[in-house]
Amino acid sequence: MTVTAPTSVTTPMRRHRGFLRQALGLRRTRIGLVAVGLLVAVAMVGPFLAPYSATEFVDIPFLANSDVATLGTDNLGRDVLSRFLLGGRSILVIAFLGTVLGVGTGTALGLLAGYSTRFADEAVMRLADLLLAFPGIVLALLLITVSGPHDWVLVGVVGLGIMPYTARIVRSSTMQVRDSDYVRYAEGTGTPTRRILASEILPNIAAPLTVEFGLRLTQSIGAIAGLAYLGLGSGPPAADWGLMIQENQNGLTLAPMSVLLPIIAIAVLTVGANLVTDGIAQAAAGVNRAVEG
Amino acid sequence: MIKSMLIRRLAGGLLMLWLISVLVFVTIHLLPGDAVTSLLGHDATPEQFESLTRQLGLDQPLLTQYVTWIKGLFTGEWGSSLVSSLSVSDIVGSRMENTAVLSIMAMLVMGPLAIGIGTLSAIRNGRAFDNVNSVLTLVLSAIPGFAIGVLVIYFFATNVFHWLPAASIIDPEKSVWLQLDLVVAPMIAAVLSMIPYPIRMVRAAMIDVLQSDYIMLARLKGLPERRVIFRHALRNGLGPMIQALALTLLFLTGGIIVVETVFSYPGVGYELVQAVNHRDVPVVQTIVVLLAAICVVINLLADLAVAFATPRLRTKLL
Amino acid sequence: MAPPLSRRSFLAGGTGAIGLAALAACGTSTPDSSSNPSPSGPPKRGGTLRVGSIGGTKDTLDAHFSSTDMDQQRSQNLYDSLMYLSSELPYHLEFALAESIELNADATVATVRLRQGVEFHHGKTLTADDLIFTVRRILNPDNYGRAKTALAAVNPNDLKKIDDRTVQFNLITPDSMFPKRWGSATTSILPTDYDPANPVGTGPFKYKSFTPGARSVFVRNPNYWLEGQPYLDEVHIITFADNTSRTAALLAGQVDAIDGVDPTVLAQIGSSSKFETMITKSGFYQPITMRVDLAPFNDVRVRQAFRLMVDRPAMVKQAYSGYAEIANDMPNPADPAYPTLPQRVQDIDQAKSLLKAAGLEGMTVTLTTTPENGGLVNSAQVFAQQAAAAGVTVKIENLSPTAYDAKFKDWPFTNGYWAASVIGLSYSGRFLKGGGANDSHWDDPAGDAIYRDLLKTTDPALQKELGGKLFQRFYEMGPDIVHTFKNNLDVYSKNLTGFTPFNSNGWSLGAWRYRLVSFK
Repeated sequence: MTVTAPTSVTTPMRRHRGFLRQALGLRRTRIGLVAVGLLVAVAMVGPFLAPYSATEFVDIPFLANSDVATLGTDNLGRDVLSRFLLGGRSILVIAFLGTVLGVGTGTALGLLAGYSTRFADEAVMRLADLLLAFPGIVLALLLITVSGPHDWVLVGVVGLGIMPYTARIVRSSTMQVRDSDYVRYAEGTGTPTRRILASEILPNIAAPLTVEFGLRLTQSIGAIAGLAYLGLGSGPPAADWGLMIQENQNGLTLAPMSVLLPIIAIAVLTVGANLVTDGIAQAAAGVNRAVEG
Repeated sequence: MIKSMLIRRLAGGLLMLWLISVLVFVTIHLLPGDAVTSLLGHDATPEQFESLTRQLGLDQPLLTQYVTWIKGLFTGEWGSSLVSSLSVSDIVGSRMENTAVLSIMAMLVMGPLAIGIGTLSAIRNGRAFDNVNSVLTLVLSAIPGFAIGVLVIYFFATNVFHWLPAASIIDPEKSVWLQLDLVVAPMIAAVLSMIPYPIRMVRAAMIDVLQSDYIMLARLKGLPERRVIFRHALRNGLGPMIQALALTLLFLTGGIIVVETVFSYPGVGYELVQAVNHRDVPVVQTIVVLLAAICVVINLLADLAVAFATPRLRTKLL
Repeated sequence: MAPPLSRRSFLAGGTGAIGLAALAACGTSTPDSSSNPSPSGPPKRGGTLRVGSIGGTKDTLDAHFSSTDMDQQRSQNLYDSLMYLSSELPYHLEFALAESIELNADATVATVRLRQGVEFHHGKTLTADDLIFTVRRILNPDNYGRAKTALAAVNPNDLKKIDDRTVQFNLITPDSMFPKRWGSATTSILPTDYDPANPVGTGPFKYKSFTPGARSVFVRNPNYWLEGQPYLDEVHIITFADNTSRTAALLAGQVDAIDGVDPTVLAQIGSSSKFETMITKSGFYQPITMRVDLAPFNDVRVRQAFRLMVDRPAMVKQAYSGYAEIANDMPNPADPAYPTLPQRVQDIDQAKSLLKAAGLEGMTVTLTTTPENGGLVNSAQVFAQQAAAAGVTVKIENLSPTAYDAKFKDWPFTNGYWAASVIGLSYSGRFLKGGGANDSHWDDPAGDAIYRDLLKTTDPALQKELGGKLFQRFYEMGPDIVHTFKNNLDVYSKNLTGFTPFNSNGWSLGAWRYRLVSFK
């Protein structure tokens, strides 16, 4: 995944608004936005539309459809549609918060490494190397063993998994911007470092950062669903897309929607987010080229 | 020169391993959440509490605990499981072989497949094959690994076709090499869930190579296209390809955990998930350190392989 | 989990109306000779049976310490005890390694005569010494076997060897149930040179290999004392940690039979013509057990409130897909002493007011469960949903079999699975103070006294009266929410024959008597 993230924002121009507008002009970005918007709407508004509660029994288990349950029933006879509508929010919220945490701390560390002393740079990068030595899920499993599968642990686990990747990317982007004329100028005029970081460097690495955020968010959604599937999510009887797949795996033939619906939802969301980030990446590269040319 | 680079990398690797052990140890001992309480549950007697504390060595000073643990890691004395009373090395030993076999099979299938598809996609950049490929890899990478596993079982084992075994019930009395039929289904799931990464990386690398002056020159010389691709382009793309496959292998180390669980495949990943569910700290910490160590070794080997495969780097090193 | 009780079930016992007459009557019958209906000639020899069962890594092959139903399953095929529980109702046992068991009128002296010419797997002939060795091994104070409470009346130092095949037991206290205590695998007869590392019994199959948590391989015992049996060459018992992969393995043809399945599995394989489903209807139950020695369930008002929260017909429908009958907070419905008391129904208002009286309105409690037996996790979840109506939050803790069994008897609030039996037999394990399977830590001196009186008498009428009193106590204040009696569901390949529903105790796959099973 890291490979697809472009890191070649080299030109010191304030065009952070430009790349977003440019991206919106691309068809893939628009398709992606529709997909993401749809799924986020389902997850966020869905709970208010669910015909039943997540734990209510409406009919006998594993019906493909019935008079009371349009999309069938799950392994306990609960309404698949309701559980689907109710099961997206926690995944999205945890994934989003985790990504914000990870990209946020990663950005801070990346700026620190890219802009400050050699020592800080070394320290941050070695820490990143260390964290990257663990496959993400292994680190997650370790932390869950110690602290239990609570929502805040999941947020932290996602953030910790993302942080080193973001730190690396932000560092290299920062280093490219650091030597630009306007940063030199700002330094020369005695602008405080914090100001330089916030108003000169950050806006200029906005494009790779946006792409980074999108990529990590999609990964996080898959990871949270995966943990729920492994039985390490918030746990039954709460509705959760990952858990739904695990609980109803046996009923795939009988009540296909109980398994397919969450899979399709996760896939559409991920594809959509990928298209958006792809579009942004392309637009950013295009803007670059245009400016460079 | 090459020697000093080797030594530097090795030293870096060892340092990394040491840091990993510290990190795992610190995580387990200093994070909120008490392993003993969560293991013993609600109504443990003080005696039970004390005996488990002693069994875990938690009554010792932290440094002593760490030294004991590290010594054990080297001598193979990994303690015993808190849940099943088996020794950790008994549990991990045979599982390790099973996981290795699954990973090797997956890489043997995935490597050539990814290089083939990625290269062809690069050659046909922007044409039908490339477009179909990019849509397929996009969709595939969007479906979580466990869901791919569930679908593989559904389509190939239980419902649509009955070609493959659905659960990897490996007979512990026989070598896993004699039961490769039980490895096939999880291998397919692992390949399907991992392959988008190497395909993309190979494609990107090959596009770069194909646009390089070097290839342009070969084409200008009028060499047949096939020869350009096989003799020149692929050879030049070798470095990035190795890097791509090494990265895939790293991802696989994590991804295999989920795949093994879906198929009840008796590997370290499945064991790790079980142990996490049981809060079986000795098993968890051993497997985590082992997996991280494997990742460090993969990284190291990949760096070396890339160095040797890239003509530019090789000359610089030598 | 089901441990001791499961074996307890094998101890079975005639309706409580045991006595000498009944025993004499079954003296002539060969075990299970009637339960092998083979319409098309004699059963075919050969083949390997592969059974998928749910279990963990805490397995053992030592019959005297077997605890899970997988242990039970293995022991059933490696060993024999003095008696066999018949698969049919009313409850009765048939002679296995015993030729006769005689009990004197005041149930204080028992004389056991062993079958002649039975050989252990390693060639040694069964003698009185082996029986004495077995009893002393179970009652070894340094390492009690699981049948310790069942054989509580036996004095290991007062066993008289009358001749090479006869042993006289002088009992410490009267035990009218004595002959029926020998139907369980935990009372399996082991040879004097028994070595747990290379286990030897008299059973229909011999040990070949065993890996805890993975698989056991047994091969045919050619010298089995029941002429002609067994028919299979090999039996492989394969351990699965969860139902999903086990069902998938059955559908993919990796195993031939799976036991105690989730009702939803039936619907899943329903359309397939390759499988046979066996429904065993009995008093098999999956109670929600409350530890009475801990708050909040040490308060009888809380226990009764929890019993009133259950909507039993809904439980039958949701948790068991209809494969269950509603129950009335008492076990063992086939016991002649089982009383007719008003059926308990859901009463949320009453439950709430009881909780209010106990000061526990809106309480939260964790229900520990495991997928070890089909229906456990589902019934736990259904209960949690029903309890919510009374303002009680029930959190579900779903543990793997390994983790669950590791602390069996410790969970404060849990659901387990127990075979049907009669109260005279099941009381000592699950309810007697100090009983090996007393997971609720039930401590009822008055009830224990009634139970002791029951053991003193061989009069069926008096036994029924005393048993009825014990049932009444369970109904009024017991530690179990017995919401339903579950039908045990097994699925096996149509190529197999010889499985008969074990209606007496309700266990799976014809209570795992693979000596009767053959390929078509």
